Amino acid sequence: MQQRVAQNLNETSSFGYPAAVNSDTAEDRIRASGLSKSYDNTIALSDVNIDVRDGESVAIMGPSGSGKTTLLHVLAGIIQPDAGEVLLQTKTGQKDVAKLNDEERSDLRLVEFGFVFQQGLLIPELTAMENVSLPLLLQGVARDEARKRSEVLLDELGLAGLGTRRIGQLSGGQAQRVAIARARVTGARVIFGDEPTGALDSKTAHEVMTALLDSTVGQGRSLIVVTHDESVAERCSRIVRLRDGKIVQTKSETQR
Amino acid sequence: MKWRALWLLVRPTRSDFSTTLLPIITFAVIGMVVFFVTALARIFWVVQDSTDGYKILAVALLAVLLVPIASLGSSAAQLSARRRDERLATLRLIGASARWVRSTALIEASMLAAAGVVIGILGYWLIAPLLSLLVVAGVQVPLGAVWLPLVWIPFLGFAVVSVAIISAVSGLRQVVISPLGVRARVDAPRIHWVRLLISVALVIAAIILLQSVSVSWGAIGITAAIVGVLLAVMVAQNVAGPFVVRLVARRKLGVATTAAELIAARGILESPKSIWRQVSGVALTSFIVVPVGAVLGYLNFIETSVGILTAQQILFFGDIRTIILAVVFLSFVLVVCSVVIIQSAAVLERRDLYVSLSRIGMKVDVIHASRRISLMLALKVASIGSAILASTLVSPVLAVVAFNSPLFILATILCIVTGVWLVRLSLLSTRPLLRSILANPDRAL
Repeated sequence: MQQRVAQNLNETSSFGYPAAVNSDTAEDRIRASGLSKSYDNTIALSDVNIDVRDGESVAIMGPSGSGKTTLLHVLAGIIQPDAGEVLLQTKTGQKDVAKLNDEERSDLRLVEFGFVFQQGLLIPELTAMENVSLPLLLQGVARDEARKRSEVLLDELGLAGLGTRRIGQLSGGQAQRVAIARARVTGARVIFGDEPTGALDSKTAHEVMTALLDSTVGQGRSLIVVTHDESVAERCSRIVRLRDGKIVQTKSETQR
Repeated sequence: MKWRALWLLVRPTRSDFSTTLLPIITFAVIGMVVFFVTALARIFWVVQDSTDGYKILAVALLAVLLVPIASLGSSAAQLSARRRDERLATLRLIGASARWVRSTALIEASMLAAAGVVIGILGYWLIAPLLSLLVVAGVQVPLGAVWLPLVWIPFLGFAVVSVAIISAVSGLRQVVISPLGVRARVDAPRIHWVRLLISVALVIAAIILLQSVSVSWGAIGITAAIVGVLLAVMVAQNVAGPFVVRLVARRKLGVATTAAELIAARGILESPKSIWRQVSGVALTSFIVVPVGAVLGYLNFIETSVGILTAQQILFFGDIRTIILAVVFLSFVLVVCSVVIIQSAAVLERRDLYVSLSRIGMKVDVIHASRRISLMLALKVASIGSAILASTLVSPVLAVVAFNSPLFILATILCIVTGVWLVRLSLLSTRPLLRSILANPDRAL
């Protein structure tokens, strides 16, 4: 694990953040095909195909129960599909996320992916800085190094001087920025957002979405967001709409 | 109208394991132990002897088990009062006053405690016959003596429910109830160093009292003195314990290198009183086991080497051993229950957080390790700290025993170590719950 982190750091810039890439010429980061998933008698996904390139942002939309969260979870290796494959281009080669066991998927999520949830879901008793450092500590990075890298990210996200505050002492928007910093701190290439602005007012939601886009596609990473909010989806380079577990519409920026 | 709304909101539902079942199970255990211990104390109380030594033992037994029972009751009641967050907030939203909402929570806490106590009484009736296996003052305890008089039952039950109400009041003081939700206060609690001074003063007072006791005080005087000493030590431990645990956690935070250590240290700093409450029973047991073990070793030395003790005295010392074993066993049972209940509730309460941590790649082992580290840290402070304090107080006797009856020292250490391991194992028992939550999170999460 520590070797992978070191490799990760060497491949990227001083703090592990790659430069922005042109998404038109970029290669597929995730290529998922034939994804199906059922819960008892409910079909959550049915033969879904989706590709996500480096530097691309994809909004997954659809009514409640359409399968959007299930799709996000399958792509992120949180759950396994009943059928289909999720090919991920990692630093060490291509992997089928759907075929990995629980332990391997945990490792993969820690190194390759970042997550921003609706409520942030940060550890309330830790400071902002400690929350951001957490994925690095889990990877075995020394605490001082983790602290330095977290500090840079917090500064970048407009949270300079707030690193020692506990999560309860931050506003909703600030807490979401901490969550963004945590998602980015390992240098993950793909960031998943599950309603990342869902609990925020519209002004703060806009600011947080700006921060999320700058931190991800702005730096050549891929962003996959599940959202109900059209204004959030409109800012992504592609909108994928689901209904009854199937993709019913895909619109790129040029088609809107 | 209000009462109809109250019933709709407080009635138990199938999914209310942490809000309803946990407090009921806890109070069932508390009720069972309270009735069982009172029956045991009564057996000792009615023994006829010229020195009233058995009466002193009976009172000491009750006094010693007071802390773990009260701690467990307090935890359970606070759980039941604080676990209703959303429902309490809903009540505020529909126009109920904060006072009315608090009353609702208190009524609910007392109802759950009462339900648990009723189950506890049934449990006592099941296990009470075990007391008839004991031999006290050389006589087998008759089966009829293990049953408490019927009039005692409601009285004791009311006492347990009262503990629940007092604890629930204290639990609600720590939360802010607003129409937008019931939330725990944001700032980390501060614990003043004056606590340490108060504790030192109490321990010194206890030592002075203990050294002043003489036969001339009579049975009531000696009993009062022993109870006074025990109460002083209990209060001292519970006043200083959270402060010391917080100090150790601060130090741990400074040197933490792993995610588990960091989360554990911060977790203790967030709520040192809560973590101390889980282990306070071990603190008192360790404090008592050391001097008592030393005294028993000393008496064993006199008994075997000189032979100056009367047959009655030898029987009495044997009964002291029985009482001590009962105290140690029951206090560990209570601590284990306390840990299982509080930790299970914590897992359920933080399920969203644990699921999210698992999603970012934190393995269940790390999550469990953070819980284990924080509990063991508090447990070490409680057991080793109390044992060292007690050893210092009885160091002259301890030195004699170490030389003449080393087995008693070993037995004492073994007793404390067993207790610590029992608590550690009890934490392990909550691991399947954590695993199942991570394996089957709500789909909406």
